[in-house]
Parts: sequence; structure tokens; C-alpha cells
Amino acid sequence: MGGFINSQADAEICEVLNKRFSDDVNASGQTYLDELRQFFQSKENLFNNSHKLNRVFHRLAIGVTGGASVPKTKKSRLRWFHLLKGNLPAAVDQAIRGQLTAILSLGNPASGVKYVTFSTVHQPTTTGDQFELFDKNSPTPKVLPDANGKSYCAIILQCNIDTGLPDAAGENDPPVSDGGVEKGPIPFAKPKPIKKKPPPKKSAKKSVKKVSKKAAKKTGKGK
Amino acid sequence: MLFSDRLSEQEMLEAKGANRQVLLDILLSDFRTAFPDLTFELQLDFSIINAQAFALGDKRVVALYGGLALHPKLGAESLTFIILHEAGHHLAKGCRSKRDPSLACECASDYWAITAGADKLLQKSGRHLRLRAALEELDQIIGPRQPRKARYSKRASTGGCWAERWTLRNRALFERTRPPTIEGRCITYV
Repeated sequence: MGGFINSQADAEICEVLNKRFSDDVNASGQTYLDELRQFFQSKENLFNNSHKLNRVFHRLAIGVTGGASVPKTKKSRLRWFHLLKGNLPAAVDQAIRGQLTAILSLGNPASGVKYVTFSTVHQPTTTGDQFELFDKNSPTPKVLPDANGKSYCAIILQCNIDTGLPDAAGENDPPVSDGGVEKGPIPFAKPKPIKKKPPPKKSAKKSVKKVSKKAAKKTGKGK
Repeated sequence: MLFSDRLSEQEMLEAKGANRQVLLDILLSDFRTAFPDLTFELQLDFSIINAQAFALGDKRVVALYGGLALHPKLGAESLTFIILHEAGHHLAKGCRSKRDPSLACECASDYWAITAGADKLLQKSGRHLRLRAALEELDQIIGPRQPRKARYSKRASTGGCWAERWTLRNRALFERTRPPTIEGRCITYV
């Protein structure tokens, strides 16, 4: 995304999605993206029309954070949930579902990409609508090579209008469950953190010094 | 950048009235000459106080938005540095942005901007980056925007990635600190 001045809420949203769709390796030696593909293909089609995007985003995010909602600031979070809950143009909503379904399902060029990036940019849209998914709301993601020869897809939400997202004080936080279509938490198996070696004890040396000073006092050698 | 701050309508109007457009046109023309592989866009209709590097398909874009381009506290020096920094996201080597691994991290972009980027800009267009003036201008708008906790960091060293805190970033730029040489990504916000 490369914004000059960090926008915390934008950074949190994009980063949690980037992590979820990354090629970082989980506790089972699988990439986080492949772990999500497995869940999508065997248990739950997260992006069919029975799912609301705000709810899916929330479930993906808390999987990554271990429970904390994203963005951290409530006001920003409500605005974001409100946008995803049916307030994007219909073509954008369908394009998001189409591109992510192609990435997570089998049998198309995007099925094999190693990772996915998410970003928002301010650009005029071809439709003239406030939002558009690059490229022209296409449901088919473009597969790109990165500098290291890995293939990836970029999900880019273009914003055309110069106003902030509206406040949404009455929005549900967390978003209401999608009901029976949900097949439990979305797995995100974090590898165990590497234990750091404890630093060498300094107290032993100090105590030797203290003892020797005391001993010196007693014997009068320190004078 | 759906949650970025914006410049007020009044400030936008006042800045547009001055000779700002001429300055911006000359500035971007210099950058187009120096870095012809990148697309430099001036998006004055967006009042967000920011600039951005991103790729749209094969096109590598540097966008300068109205809130920053017209900001009354920023002049040619800081705008030169900002655009160099954004170009650095596309052209710098080294550690990657956590948000988009196809872009360089903030620290690598900063270092590229004040070294290789500034040299090339001078060589190809004759435009000289005066870093001290640029940072003094930027300090007025970024400093107060830092979260209170981040303004007074206990961390004093610029070793490792410094991009998260403006105070460290500012110093790293003055001292021309090299970015970390790690492959992979530096900072995290989640």
C-alpha cells in the first residue's frame, strides 16, 4: 500500500488479511493460505451469497489475532463492518466474492498462487461508483509474478469519492452470525513461539563482590 | 487509505489559489524525467493528507493526493522527499512491506530516497533534495499526528526498522542509517 503517513485502521485491516492469505507457514507446516483453502474446499464456502462479507471478515480476523477484533478502534471498526454489510456497490461485492472464491477453490489459474495481498487506493473508477474492485469489478483475479518468482494475486479496492466512511454507531459488533452455514471457527494454526534462552545470571558475580567487600571490612583490608 | 485524515475544504481552496499548481507541475515533470518507468499521478480532488505507492496490474504508480500536495505547511522540499520515498517503495531493494511484499518497507524506501533516489533525481533533472528543510516541514504535520504513546518512545536506537515512529524515522534520515538487511518483512500493526 505504501502510504506516506500511516493510517492505523487501514494498516490493521490490510495486514490481518495479508497474514491470513500469506505463505507464512503454520504449526502443521502448511501455509496459512493453503490452510484456508483446505477449510474452504472441504468445509465451508466462505464467499457464497449465504455469507455476509462483514461477518466473514470478522471471523478471518479473529482467527489471526486470537480473538481481538480488527480494526482495534471501535469507531473505525463499525464503519468498516457497515461498509462490508451490503453497502458496497453490488458489482464490487460480487467481484470480491468471485476473486476470493477463484483463489480458494480448485481448477483455475488463481488456485495455485502462493499468497494474496489486499490494499485500498484512491483512484477514479471506470464505473463512476464510489468503489470498484480492480480490474473493472472483474470476478477473475489476475495472477502476477513477484520479484522472487512467486505467483500472487492483488485484491485492490479502489475508492473514487473524497469523503470518509460514514459513522455507523448502530452497527453490530461483532457482526451477527450467518447461522447454519457457519462450520465453526476458521482454523489458523500459529506455530509455537521459539523460546528465548534466559540471559546468563549476573547475580552470582555481584554476590561474590558483596561477600568479598564484607570480608574485606571484617579483616580491615578495605581501609 | 479509507481512514486517512483530510485537509479542510477552506485550506484546499486557499492552497489552490496560490501558485501551487505550477510548483507541482514542475516537480512532477522532474520526477517523470528521472524515473520514466514509474507513473506519477497528482490527485488533487482527493483531500486526504497522504501519498501512496501501489501497483495496478503492470503499472507502478506514485500518487500524491490533494491534502498533502496542497498542504499549507509543506513546500517543495518536503514534497520532493515524499515523492522520492514513494518511488523508493517501487525501486528500493531489501526488506519488504508487511502490507504488500511487492513494495519495499518504509525504512528501505527512506534510505533509498535520500541516497540512490536523490542522486538520480539530481543527475537526471537537476533537482536537489535538501533533507534538513524537508524534515523540518514534515515534522510540523507528522509529529502532532503520532499517537501520544508513540511520540515519546523509550526506544532510542535506530537499529532495526525505524518506520513505525516518526521520531526514530526522522533521526534515521538525518543520520543516513542503513535499513536492516533482513529478507522479508519488518514492522507489524496487528
